[in-house]
Amino acid sequence: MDDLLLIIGGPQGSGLETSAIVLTRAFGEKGYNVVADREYHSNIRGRHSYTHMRISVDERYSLAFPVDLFVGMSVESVFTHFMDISENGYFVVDTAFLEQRIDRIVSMEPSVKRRLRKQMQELGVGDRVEDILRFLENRGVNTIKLSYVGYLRMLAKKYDISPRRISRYMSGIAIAVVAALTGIDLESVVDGLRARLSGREELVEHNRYLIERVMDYIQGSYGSPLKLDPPKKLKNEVLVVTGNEAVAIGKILGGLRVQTYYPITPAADESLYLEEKMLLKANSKNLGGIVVFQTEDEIAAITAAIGAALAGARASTTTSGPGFSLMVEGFGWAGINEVPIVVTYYQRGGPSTGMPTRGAQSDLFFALYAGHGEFARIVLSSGDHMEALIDAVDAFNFAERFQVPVIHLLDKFIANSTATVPIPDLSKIRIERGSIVEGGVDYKRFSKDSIVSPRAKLGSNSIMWYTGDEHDEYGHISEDPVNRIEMYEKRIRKMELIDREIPDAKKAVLYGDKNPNIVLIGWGYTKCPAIDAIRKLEDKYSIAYLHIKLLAPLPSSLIRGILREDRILIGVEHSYEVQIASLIRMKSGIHIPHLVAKYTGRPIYENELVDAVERIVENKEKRVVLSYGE
Amino acid sequence: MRCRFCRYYLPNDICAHVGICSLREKIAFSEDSCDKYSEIDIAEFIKKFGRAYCVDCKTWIYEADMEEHRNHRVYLGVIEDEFLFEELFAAD
Repeated sequence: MDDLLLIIGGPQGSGLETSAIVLTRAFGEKGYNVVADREYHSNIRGRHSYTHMRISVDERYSLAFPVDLFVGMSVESVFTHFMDISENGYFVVDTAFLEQRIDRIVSMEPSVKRRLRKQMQELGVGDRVEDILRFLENRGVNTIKLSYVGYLRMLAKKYDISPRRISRYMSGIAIAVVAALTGIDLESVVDGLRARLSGREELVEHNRYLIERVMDYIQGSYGSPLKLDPPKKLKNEVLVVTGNEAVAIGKILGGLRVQTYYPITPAADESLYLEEKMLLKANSKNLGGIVVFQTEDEIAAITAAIGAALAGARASTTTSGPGFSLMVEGFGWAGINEVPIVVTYYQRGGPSTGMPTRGAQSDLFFALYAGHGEFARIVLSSGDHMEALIDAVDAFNFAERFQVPVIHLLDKFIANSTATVPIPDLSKIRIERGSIVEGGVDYKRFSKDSIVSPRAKLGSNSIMWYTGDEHDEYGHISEDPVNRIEMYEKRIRKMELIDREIPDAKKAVLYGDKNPNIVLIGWGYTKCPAIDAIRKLEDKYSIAYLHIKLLAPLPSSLIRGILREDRILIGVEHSYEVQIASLIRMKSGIHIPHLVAKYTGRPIYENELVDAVERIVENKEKRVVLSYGE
Repeated sequence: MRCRFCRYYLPNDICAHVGICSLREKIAFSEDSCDKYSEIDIAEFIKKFGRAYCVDCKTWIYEADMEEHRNHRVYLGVIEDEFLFEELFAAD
């Protein structure tokens, strides 16, 4: 077995996050490639939530269905995912669930319940968990019934455990089931637990006991039928990080000094991670600190970041769609005043509150055009965790080098998924602060001598003026039409400079066949399923994926060279419009006739993208809308 | 006579099969039973003390909500899992 897919499903708060992190660490330690996505409801606790993991012997980036293993921590998860399991897969439930009926699940949304009931009726499945298991067994699925409470009881006999810590033990049961069936050894799991439960040795000991018992039973009864082949490429060390954490690490490496935020899903975890690292130390040496400032709202967040940037600190703010809506005025102010700030923007399902804990890429045009008037900006996007980390450094470098606001555009799919990431090559990370001067007498902050004027910091030995108005070289308000033209062009022409100076590899990358007949086009998280899909399809088609990283300024000439009209061009995006196709047409004149869209808030899965490409190529379909996943 | 119907049983909010016996002040399992069992009328309790907790809906309920929560698992109280915060993403 070289590729394993699994789901652990249960109520929010039942230990799914811990299960995912511990298992990712355990498999990562063995050299496996792991990606794990959390799909969770926007209520705080109790609603159905699941971890979807992929563990493989080589690099895979996305998730797929059906899964080989399902571990149900709630009745709701059993009914929600019973059709997601592969034939010959393993479906594990608590014996306490067996008599439970779908009608009695209070937490399930009524529309979901109706849809599932209808599906079950069509399949001739009864309404109890027991009926589901019988149905699956008839299809060749291996079912395992385990008394979760029985194991908790066993644990309570051995140790004085607290009922206030049950989530910790529920995760232990899920971890043990996965470890046993996949043949991961106990010590790797305990190492993962120790890292997760750092400093709480008592909990580690309890979990060790629990996990060992569950593993003994599972392996004694079923063996390790889902054992993976050895990893293809052994890595010495990996990071196990969420996308939020990858960005935070990138910001630290990139010299962040001030981070502002107002809490919002799925962005806030980045700032919480940074709060833990506010005092930077290496080899016992104090490297200074980061100010992480939770403001009263997003307007204050962006303006505080602007103030910090003007004072010379590397500053960023982090938000999501609704928060960025509030930041737009400040963003424009940064535009006219050429302030080098970074806005890390994690997209979620909109509009308005939309679906806060679900993903989307539908804010592309918003990021590109937010703010009135015209001004230079950079919009940079990342396609996976490693890119997110490196791009966080680049975002600061670009902001300061070109003195423009930069939007680092990400999405919930990356933000809240956990992955094993190689340790970045730190020798390649450079901090480029652009042209910084002391200023002095007669300092012209907005000197027209160059497109990017030498920048003095507030508090340095110089006087400068910042307003939201059009201004002269000193910053004084000016409505002189000649000055207006010069200042306007100075700012806007930065886009040409940026286009010239940023290397192609940071603008767009072609993966797969270098002379393809079929080209998928996308950006952001789309990279993950697209790379996996072209790998699946490469024996059948000459196919490639064009990953666009720099969205503003869009590298039109680079794109034109790849998107020739004799090729089958397919735009892929987590949105209705597939905005990247519209953007490319607008900026480069190239029409992308085929679109793959998904706007359920769930990620595009490898299997559905493979299927969509086949439908487009074989059946000449123009538009395929994807909808897999609960 | 199961603990889950007993006035002293307070379930864990996430895993209601496990809870605390408020009389013995130790872990209890919903399907257990003991000689201290004391059944309670939830409606009466709400009338007297104002509210009870529906573990299915993860919410406190009041007299006016009783009908809506009929056949739900309603208890006199609930115990919060102390590691809940580590399992949830920061949000707003």
